[in-house]
Amino acid sequence: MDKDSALMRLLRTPRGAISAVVLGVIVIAAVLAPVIAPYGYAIQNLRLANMEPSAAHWLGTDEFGRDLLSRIIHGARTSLAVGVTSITISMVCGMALGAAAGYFGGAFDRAVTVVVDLSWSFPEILLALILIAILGPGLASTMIAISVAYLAQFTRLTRAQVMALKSETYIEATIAMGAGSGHVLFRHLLPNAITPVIVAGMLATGDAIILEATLGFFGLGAQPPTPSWGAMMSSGTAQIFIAPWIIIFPGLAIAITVIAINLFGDALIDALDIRKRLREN
Amino acid sequence: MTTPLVSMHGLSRAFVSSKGMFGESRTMRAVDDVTLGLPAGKVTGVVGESGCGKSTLARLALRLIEATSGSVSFDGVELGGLGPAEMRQIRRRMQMVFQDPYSSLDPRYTIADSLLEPFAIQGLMPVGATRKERVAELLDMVGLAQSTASNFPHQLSGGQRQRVGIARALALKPQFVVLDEPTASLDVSIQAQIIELLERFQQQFGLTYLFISHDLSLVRYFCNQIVVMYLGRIVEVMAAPDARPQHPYSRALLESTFAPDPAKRRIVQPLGGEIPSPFALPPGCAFAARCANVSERCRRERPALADTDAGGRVACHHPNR
Repeated sequence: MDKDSALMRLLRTPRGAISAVVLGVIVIAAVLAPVIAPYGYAIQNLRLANMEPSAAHWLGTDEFGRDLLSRIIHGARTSLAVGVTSITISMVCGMALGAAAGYFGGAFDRAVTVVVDLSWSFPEILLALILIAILGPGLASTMIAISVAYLAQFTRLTRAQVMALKSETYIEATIAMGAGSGHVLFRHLLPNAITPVIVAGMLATGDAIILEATLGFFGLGAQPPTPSWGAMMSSGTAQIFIAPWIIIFPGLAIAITVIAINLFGDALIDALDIRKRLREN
Repeated sequence: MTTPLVSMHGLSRAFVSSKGMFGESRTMRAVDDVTLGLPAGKVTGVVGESGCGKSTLARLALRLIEATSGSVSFDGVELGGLGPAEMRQIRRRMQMVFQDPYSSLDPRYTIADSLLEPFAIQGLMPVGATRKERVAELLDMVGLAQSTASNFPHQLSGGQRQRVGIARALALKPQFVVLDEPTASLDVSIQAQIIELLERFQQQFGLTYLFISHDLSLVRYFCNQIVVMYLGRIVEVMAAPDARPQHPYSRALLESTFAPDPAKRRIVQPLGGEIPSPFALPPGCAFAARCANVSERCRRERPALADTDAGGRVACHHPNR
């Protein structure tokens, strides 16, 4: 039941252990990017443009002669920062909305449900594009757009959890002791509802990184010279026949990161034994 | 008879269910026009089959749900008129033990946390070493080992959890405790222990109980006053546990109890007929369709609760004397 044993169970499975190590490496690389990157991410050297991978530039250089490895390491910062920040915002707002809707019910619940169902019927990418069209491109608007795009998912999940837990006898017992709504929500309902929401957030972070890369690919995300995996792939399309590594390596970085996150999330679901609770949504 | 600690007057609760967005709504009167006093320091039992409104009545008595009409007063104070702060104050004096000991404790709380929660909610949290003492006292009171304090509910058996539930209900030394089928989900061997425990506390603290059950023999053993409910209404109040039931329904309930001694077993006359839908009660007596004493008048006119010679009340045109 307690957290430590769930984490230990997770790390004992090959899937959990491998994904945890890969994720660990990516996170460390992102945090320590300025220290471990062999070159600066914005240093151009046009004489070395489109160099294939070599001893000096392990992953080659791009069309401006910038070191690809350094840019990918710095790009991890953008991807992780956007993924984690936007999903955290989305999760906190979604939990507040979903818990309030599920607990208080009534007209507020109906209003929230209608809006959530409406936004659920749009693909996330479309929602994000509409928001960026309104806010203008950039890192901050990417984060806001992604947060809003995933809000419905967390609201729905939290609402379903709270509704299911609300009828537990211990909630009635708490009310019989004289507790108000705040106590019931924050001491009983949310602590019991939070685990599946956090796991869903973990999995959504992978999706958010893909969405960020997609927006970056369209030039709507982080603006140059800030390195972003999506934007790097986009610039690589022009050189795909003369320097394919420019598009291949950022693509691999995205794939490895997202696969690691998904495997880790999946292993977490099994370790916490909550697959059933997630499917109820 | 002593003055009632809790009195309910014309208490009703209706639930409205609607069929989809455009369907017509139907009203079910789960509790209908209940007037009842619970004498202080005594045990009042409420019996009836499932769905007769006894659990709704229990929740109305504590104002865990709001009444559609009628009133409940506790020690002279009308609960319906109290604001949230006053309601919280008065909840110290009235508590509840629940049927299902498996879901009545938060799975994330240790037993000590659960036992301290009433103090925390009421702003009476003991500080320092007294906190541990409080938990120790409560565990001791219900016969649980001290090591239980650091356990989680899933580590305990049903009977142990129900003991925790009782200790939690008694933590703030209430005067009035509602027992909502406290033994219904326990093994028979454990049931007796729990009843014994409840009986001991009732005598020790002079508690007033409202004991909800569908087991009439248990109610007869445990209670001073017995209330029989049928489809939301009181059909009979027996002033003494050994009083002869006069309402045909109470009689049928009593006859259906299982006698451990084969020599004492009777031939049970099973009730025929169908229970009317609680959404569409007949105009006359709700029990008419299943009653052996039924007459034309029963189908037309609903019998009112009237005093009996034995000191109870019965709602029947043709009671068994």
